[in-house]
Amino acid sequence: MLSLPSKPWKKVKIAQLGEQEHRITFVSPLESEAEFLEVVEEDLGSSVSAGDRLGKPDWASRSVTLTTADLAAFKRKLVYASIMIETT
Amino acid sequence: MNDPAVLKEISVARPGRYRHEVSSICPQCLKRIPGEVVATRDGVVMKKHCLDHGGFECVVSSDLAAYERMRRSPRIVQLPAQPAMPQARGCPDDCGLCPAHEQHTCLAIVEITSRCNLPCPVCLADSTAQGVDLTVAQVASALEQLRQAEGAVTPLQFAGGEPTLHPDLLDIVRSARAMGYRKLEIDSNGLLLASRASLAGDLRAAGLTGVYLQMDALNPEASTWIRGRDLLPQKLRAIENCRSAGLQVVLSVTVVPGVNDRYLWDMIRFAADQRLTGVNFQSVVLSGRYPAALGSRSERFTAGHFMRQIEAQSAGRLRAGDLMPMSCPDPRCGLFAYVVVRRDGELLPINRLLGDEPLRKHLADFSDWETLLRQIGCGTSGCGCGEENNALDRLAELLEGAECFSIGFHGMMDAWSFDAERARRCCVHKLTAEGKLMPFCLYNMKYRQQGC
Repeated sequence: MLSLPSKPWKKVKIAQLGEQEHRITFVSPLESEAEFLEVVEEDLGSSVSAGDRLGKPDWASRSVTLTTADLAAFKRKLVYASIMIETT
Repeated sequence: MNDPAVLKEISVARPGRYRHEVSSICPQCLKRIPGEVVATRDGVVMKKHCLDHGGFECVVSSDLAAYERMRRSPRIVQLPAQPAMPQARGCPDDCGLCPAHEQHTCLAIVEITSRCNLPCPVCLADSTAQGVDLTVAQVASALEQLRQAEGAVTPLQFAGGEPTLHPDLLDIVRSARAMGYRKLEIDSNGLLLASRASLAGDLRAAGLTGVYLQMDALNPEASTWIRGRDLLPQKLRAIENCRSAGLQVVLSVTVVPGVNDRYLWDMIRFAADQRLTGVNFQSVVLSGRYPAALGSRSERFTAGHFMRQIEAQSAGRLRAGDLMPMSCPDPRCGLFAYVVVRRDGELLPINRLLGDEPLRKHLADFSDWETLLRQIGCGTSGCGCGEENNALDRLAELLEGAECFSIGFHGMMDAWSFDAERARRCCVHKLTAEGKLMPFCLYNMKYRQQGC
């Protein structure tokens, strides 16, 4: 009997809103608004680059807007913050 | 970089004369006896002789290259914070753990009931419908002693018997969670998880993180041989209920040579297609209950067989070199691969991108993808603390829309294959009701029948 590594719990979808504007929506369950705000601040906050901007988190839709000129860099950092990106 | 999936040739001088000594036990009287491991035409074989019961032989690897690759693989050692008992008679007669033990607890197995609702022909624990349950207080006391011995919380598996039969399972999970334990699984046959749709959700709400779901085959014949009947519909329902509840599901496959060893790749493909957390294979052992026909056969399924079979059955999609010896126990005890299930469904073992070294310290039971990703991701371009790393960038791209997955193999020992060196290095420990820790294999072969 072994205990295999747990998969990352957090998953988001990224939808393009404008040329540099995107909506990040959590599709994995979050237990509370406090947890949601913490994840946005800590995990998403650590994944943005200089010049990027996160909008006001919206608990009702579990989403936040991101303005970035380099979405690929943001996604890369998101993965290594252990937040998976859903594509469908 | 060399292709890490291709096994490096291991040079063993004069393989015909290969041998090393082992300390083992007699399969009949369980007394300590010396033995030796030698290379033969039939594979790598342990030979030993009991003065009272004669000679015994057991295949411990399909071939010398596989055996030596694992035996020579590096280990990462962390001793238990506090030995629980003095060393007196020596391994394996002091078990508890004593100061001679060379690894801490990576996974503690707590058998909360000896009752089971499935009379499997093959059962390590020899469980039946009748038995006893531990109380919530007994489990809490044992977990407290574990926390003190380890100096930290460890991953836990509540097992049995069938743990979902325990009337206080939810309270046990809540209690463990309240004590700080974070990775909590049950080792289950899934029958109640299938029939009671709310159970998985209740367990998740109580703090359970995953289910180690016993599932040996997709075909009815193999399932019937090992479990007594075809259980596929129940397993599928259990998986769906667990997934809906947000529980991680790892398939646990007991491999019986000649029965289901032809279907290893089928099980991997099934688990990957179901987007499960992973699949772990363990070789059947002659401990507990098993058909008499199994005991009379000399055929064994070892880590070496597993590597060769996976490569052949997957037509090279997974190769022997993708399966890395585990670094926490004795490397002969386990193999492991971190795998990405790509958007197109193909499997990519990530050692092919990153090489073996960055993964080695994560080849243990306490690890998880989050820790792995955060640690290796520190070298990604733009993080400001390392040079650009194309392999990490490529991995990040691959993970978009993909799934994390893993494949393990646990080469369990029984009294025929017992090697005290492996037992001393074991990190998968049975936690008794009294709070004692024992290597799980050793417990099954020697101490379970003593009622410990």
